[in-house]
Amino acid sequence: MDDPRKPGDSAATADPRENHGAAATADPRENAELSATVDAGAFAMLGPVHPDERRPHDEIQEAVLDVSYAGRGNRRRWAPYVFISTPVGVLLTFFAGPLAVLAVYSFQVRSRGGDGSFTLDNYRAAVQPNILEVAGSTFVLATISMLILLVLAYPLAYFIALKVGRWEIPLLLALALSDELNPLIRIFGWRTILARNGLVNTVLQNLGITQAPLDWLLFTRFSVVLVLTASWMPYAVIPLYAAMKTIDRRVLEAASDLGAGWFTTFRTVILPLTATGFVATMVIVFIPIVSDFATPGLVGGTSGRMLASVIEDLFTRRGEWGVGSALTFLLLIVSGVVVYLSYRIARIRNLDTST
Amino acid sequence: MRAMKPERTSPPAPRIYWTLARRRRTATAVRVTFLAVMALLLFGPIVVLAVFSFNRSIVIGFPFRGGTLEWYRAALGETAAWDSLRASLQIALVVTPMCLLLGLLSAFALSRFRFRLRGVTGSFILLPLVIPWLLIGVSGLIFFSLVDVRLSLWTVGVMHVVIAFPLVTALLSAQLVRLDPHIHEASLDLGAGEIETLRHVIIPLLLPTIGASAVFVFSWSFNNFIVSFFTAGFDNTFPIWVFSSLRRARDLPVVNALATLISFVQIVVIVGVWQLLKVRLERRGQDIRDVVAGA
Repeated sequence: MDDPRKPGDSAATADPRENHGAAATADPRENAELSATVDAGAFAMLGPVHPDERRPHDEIQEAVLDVSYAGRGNRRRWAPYVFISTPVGVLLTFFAGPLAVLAVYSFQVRSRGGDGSFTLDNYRAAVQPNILEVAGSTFVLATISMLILLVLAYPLAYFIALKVGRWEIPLLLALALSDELNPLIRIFGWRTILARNGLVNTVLQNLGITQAPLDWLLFTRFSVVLVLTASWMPYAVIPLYAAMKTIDRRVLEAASDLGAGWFTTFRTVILPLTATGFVATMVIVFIPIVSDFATPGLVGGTSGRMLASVIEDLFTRRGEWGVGSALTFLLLIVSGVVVYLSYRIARIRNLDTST
Repeated sequence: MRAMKPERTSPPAPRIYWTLARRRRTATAVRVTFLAVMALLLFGPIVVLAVFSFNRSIVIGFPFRGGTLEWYRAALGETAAWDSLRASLQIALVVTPMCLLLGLLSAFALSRFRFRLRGVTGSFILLPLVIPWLLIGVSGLIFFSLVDVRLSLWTVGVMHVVIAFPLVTALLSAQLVRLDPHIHEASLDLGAGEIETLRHVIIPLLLPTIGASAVFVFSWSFNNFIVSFFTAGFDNTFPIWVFSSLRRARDLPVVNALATLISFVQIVVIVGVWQLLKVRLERRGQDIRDVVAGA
């Protein structure tokens, strides 16, 4: 019951915004075990990530907990429930409750004179060819964005974590800052840059590189991928950074002492050690990208339409809540499967490289 | 590139030295270029907006027709925008302390006690962080209509609490696990109860991390678009106002002036707060990198 490494938990901690989820559920006793396991990368935030670096605190804390449970167990037994009940109550009411309602709605037809009895009509309506087409293109666009994101974020995280020295904290804070600026304003900025009379076209024409304005810059799949990539960059870099931070510097020094060049070090040391963090990052960015409708809605035009825009449309303009719920639920299931598979793959991969 | 042609007479050592130096210079150049490109990707759009907000032209783009503050003046009269801005600020100001409280309670319980349901509750509390916001927003919309609550800024606030307080739980537990458990136990031995311990011992120690969490939660709430969009009803938050203005492509220079203004304030405030927190964290022997990399 208390084991934080159950599958459900794994999914919870595989996310981005909270890859230190594990820290919340791991108590000190499990902490050390955990850090020694394959999850080290994803659970970077645990702190003592390297097994050798188990701090004295952990043992003390273990002992303290044991003593306090033996000695004053009665006095403290109620305490955690007092603290945890309000947060859990809030989530049960406003998170689990609504999700349950959504699930129920997806099996009922209430509009168009439906009587609310159990039906699969919504799901049938949700898998029409035209929606499936958008789903396919959503998947392609999200995957491309995710790959570009990783290709750019990985070296950036590498530089920030291991290479820039005293610039590390300023750069990290710059990332946090860019994450805390308004995403819609950023999208607006991209529209200004990519528009027909925008920055890119004007510069290209003034330099004589193009004669007419390029019209594939905005309201196309290109702009969707570009803006998605730029928008979710901090979400990709920060977990990767955390994963890189768990690499013991001595390992890198050893690699260099043994004559490995940077590429060999990268391929044989850094990449395997951050594999789990890498997969966790894929999941972290994939989920928000798939459910983003502001970006495709504002820079996607018709060709860059994505599934989230369809859902938005069903709920806000067409009033098809049942179909919308069904589609939303399918999206959740697909993302869940993606999360789970990535997690499985990461575990297996990591076991391989550690032997 | 001052690539030295190795002289035939020179011993091998200097030649290696020069090759290494050259390689290091190239590496630095590559690194700086790369970082510059990433900075453009992250901050370029905001900079471009800022520049064009002073352009006299009604079209946001070239040619540049000379500087003006006209759009800022027009922005002052855009009441819908200021209303939405006030709404966003109000929501964030209410949501932030709520999230801090809920996050603190849950983090304290999860990282300082062992109890039967700890694993389950821990996973459950972190679940909103992995569920797409689209799903949370949509389910909130259906839920509130089912229980007959009119959508308003209040419903937005409630949903913001749901999505944001688990982040505080995660950030604070990460730091709580790092704290010396002796302190907690000493406080109990000296006769303090759990609540007094939390109030007089744990909270003061965690203050900088709580501050950092507040920055994140405030920004999440202030910037959130997807969840607000579904649960705001006829009310507008600032991101919703920006979205609808962009969609209708109306008064774009005014939107631009406002966006620039907001971004400027955000940058100043956030940089200032982070700087302050960095100093405070360092004074307590905590590392700001642990706090940021958790978010």
